[in-house]
Formats: sequence, C-alpha cells, structure tokens
Amino acid sequence: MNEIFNKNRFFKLLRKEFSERTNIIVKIAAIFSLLLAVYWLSLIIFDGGAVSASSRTVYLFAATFITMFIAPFNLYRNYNHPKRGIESVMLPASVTEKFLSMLTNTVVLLPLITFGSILIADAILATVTPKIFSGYIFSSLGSSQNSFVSILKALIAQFGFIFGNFLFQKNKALKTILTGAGLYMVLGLIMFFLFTTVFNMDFQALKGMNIKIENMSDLNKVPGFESIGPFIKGFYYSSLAIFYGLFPIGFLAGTFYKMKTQQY
Amino acid sequence: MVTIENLHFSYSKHLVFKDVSLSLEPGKIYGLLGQNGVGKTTLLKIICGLLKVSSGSCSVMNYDPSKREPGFLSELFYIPEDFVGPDETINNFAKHRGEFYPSYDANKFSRLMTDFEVNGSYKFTKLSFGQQKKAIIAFALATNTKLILMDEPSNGLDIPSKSQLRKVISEASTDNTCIVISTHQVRDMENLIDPIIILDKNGVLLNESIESISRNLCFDFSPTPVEGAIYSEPTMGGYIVAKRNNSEIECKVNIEALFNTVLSNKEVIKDIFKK
Repeated sequence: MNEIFNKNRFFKLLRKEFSERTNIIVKIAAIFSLLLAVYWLSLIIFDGGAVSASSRTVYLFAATFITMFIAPFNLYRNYNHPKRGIESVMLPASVTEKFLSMLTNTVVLLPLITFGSILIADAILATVTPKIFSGYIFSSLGSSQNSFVSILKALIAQFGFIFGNFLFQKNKALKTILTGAGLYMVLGLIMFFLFTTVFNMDFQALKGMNIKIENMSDLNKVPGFESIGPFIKGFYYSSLAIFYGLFPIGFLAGTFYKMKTQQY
Repeated sequence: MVTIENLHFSYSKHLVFKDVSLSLEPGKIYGLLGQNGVGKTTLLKIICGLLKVSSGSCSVMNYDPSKREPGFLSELFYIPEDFVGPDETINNFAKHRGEFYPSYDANKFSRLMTDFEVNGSYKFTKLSFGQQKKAIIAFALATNTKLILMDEPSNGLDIPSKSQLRKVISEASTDNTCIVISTHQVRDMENLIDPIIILDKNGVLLNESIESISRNLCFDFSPTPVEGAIYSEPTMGGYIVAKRNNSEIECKVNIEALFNTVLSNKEVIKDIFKK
C-alpha cells in the first residue's frame, strides 16, 4: 500500500468528500445565484433601467471570490475539531491525499460551481429580459484584463483563509481576518518607517523634482537616487516575491503541516 | 500487536504517563479500567495516533501511530466515547467509508444494524446518542480491522443493547484481532473482557488474564469482615472480600471488587502478580 499517494484512494476520497459536501456546495451556489435574481427582480419592480454585462461581471467575480474565502470555513470547519475531526483524521488515506482533496473542493469545485451557477442564472435572466440585463456575462469575460491578476490575488488570500481554518479552532474566520489585518498593518508600519525615517531625505528631494516614474528602470534616471535606487528595486521585487511566492507557499505548507501534526 | 515502552506523556504541565510499558496481543479483548483522569482515553488516543508521545515509544502492528499512515489506519478503528456523527445517512456513511477498509463487509454491517435495531436510512443527526453509538459500533465491527479501540462503548446504550453489544463483540473477536475496551461500566463488560488492565497515575497496576487473576485472588461474600483479607467492602447484608487464593481452585472474578482491591493495595497486588 502506497503510504504517501495512491491515485485510486485519492479519487475515492475526493468523491466521498464531495458527496458529503454537496448540500452545502449547492446551497452556497444557489444563494449567490438567487441574489442576482433578487437584484433583477428589484430592477423590474422599481424600474431601475438596464444593467450592462460588464457590471454584472463585477458581481460574478465578487461572488466567486467571497465563495473562495468562505469555502474552507464551510467545507472543512470540523477537521481540527477535537471530537468531530477524529472521524476525518482516522480515515485510511494519507495526509497528502486529504490535503489535495481539501484543496480540490475548496479551491476548484465550490468556486467553479458558484461561478457556473451565476453564469447560468445570468444567461437565463438576460435571455428573458434583454432590456434589463443587456448582453451576456460570458461574452464579456475575456475583456477583463485584470481578471487573471485578481484571481491570483484572491487565490493567495484564499490560501490564507484555508491556513486560518486549520490554525484556529474557534472563531476561525474572525481570527483569520484579524491576523491578516495585523500582518498587513505590521508590513505597512515597516514601510512607513522606511520611507519617513530612513529614506526621508531622499524622498523629500524627489518631491521637489518634476519627474514621472512609471517603472522601476525610471528610478535610475533620477539624479541623487543612485544610492537608494537598488534598495527600492530590491524592496519592490522582494515584496512581490513575498506576496506571490512566500505567502501562498507558506500558507499551503502551514496547512499541510497542521493537517499532519494536529493532535486531538 | 501493540508495544508501548517507557511511555511519557503530558498535557502541558499535567503529567499523565510516566514510564509506562505495556504489551497487547492479538486474539484478546482487553478491558482497560482506571479512575477518572488516569489517562484511559489518552492511552487509546496514543495507540491510534491521535496524540503523539513525548518520549518513549509506541508501536502498533510495526507502525508508528503518530504518522497516521493509510496502511495503519486501514487496520485500526477507534470509537470515541462521545462519537458525533456527520450530517449524512448511516448507510451513506458506511458506503463511503467502507471502501477504505480492505476487509470491510457490507453484509455484516447490515446484519449488525438489524441486530441493534437501527435504521440505516436515517441521518446521524436525527438519531439519539445511543442509536448513533450503536451505528458506529456496527460499522467498526464490519470493517474487520485487526485492532478495535472502544472508549466507553456501553455508555448511552439501553439494557437490551448492552447484552447485544457483548454478543457482537465476542463474535467479532478472532485469533487475529485485538479489541481494547475502556470502561467504567465493568458490569456491562463482565464475562467479555479478558485480560484486564488497570491504569493508575503512575502507570499500569495490573495487566493480567482472568485466569491468572482467579488463580491468585479469590472474591467472596461474607456476613462479617474476614481476617487476613486484602480488601473488604461493605455491601447489603455483609462484605465483599478479596483474599489471596491459596487453593488450587480458580475463583470467579468480581471485576468491580478487583478494581477496588488493586487501587487500595497497589504494592500487595504487585507482589502477588510479580513474574
């Protein structure tokens, strides 16, 4: 028996976990689709005029992102519960399989089903009343240039929520949000300290100059910035590496570690 | 099957086990007895990998339980004292989980459910605590795992179910299986558990078969206290007395009296069962 990963066992586990959570998944997808229908109904009742497909796309993404954030707390709330969690942890599957199954359900299946459900609801409503819901969301999906970056950011935030779900035992969502806010505040304070104290003189000098910085290489053109230019570049790229690399890897590794070592 | 050596375990600053060694063999139904808080549940959780030992070792079927490997988990089933069933029907629960246990027998599960008079089409959340407990016991026995750990299995069961429980557990016991039952309700498990393990804060006070106990100790009822008895306990119309068995005849073991005898005469008991 392969103790780390077995394809058959993983798919058995995924099927089991998905079927156990079908009710809650359907409920969440239905709520967000119904909200769109309620909005559509309110437009009819109060004669609110037409709503463009691009405006509704904003709702589609917002609803999907919210679903992503609440997914771990709804689907895997009990995993580290001292009594309710025992049943999951004692199931004969490896931690890798349990981790991947959890990710598939929270990151892929629930958001995708919500996304699809809203898309279908919108298509029906737009077909029935084209004057109120003009155009179709799916035809304007590709035009959103920032959607990839937004999804990536939402994914990183979701990994943070998943980690919070496995890190905290009570008030998971609240504690995760407060910890996240705390983390951002600390990072913000560090940046504030750097820009207002350590490099204050340099930035004051920059203020007086009539220059435009559109990208990192423009910094090299600024007179007097030769000394801190490399630092700012380094800081910028480090921030990107931390946010897009260290954070998601850290959240996922932390979640895996908690799943593996959780004591009951 | 289970080998525990020099086990140390503590919850934060509260020491539970200090240098405990214990061995459990297949083909037996162990009764794990002890006062509240001595660590019966903790011991079961260590054996099934829910808790990790601080020092010492615990080996179960040559696996390290704390790694919770699938091969290990598929040969063990743990029934917690306060089992909380998921929000799904019992039949679905059994169907989805059964396929993870190589020796799972769906027919046996149905038969046990019928014996326990539990309807599998109900959701766990719609059943009483006792009904939920019977369902999980039926499932545990149907998995046919080599090691079954039960924490207070008779809690919440009605009188007919308790005798049914004794029957199904004794039927489930084979030469290859080891069943460990932690309980306070010794009368519910009388004539079932053998050997008996009595835990104390300082470790294992007794780990002996009924045969060995009955060869060494004798439990009797006497209208007056008996001189030279190891333990005597006042009861309706007399005393329950525990004394050394100096005859060749084996005596019937009164588990409740044995438990009290062991707790109040630790050194004497150690001396009697010294090997």
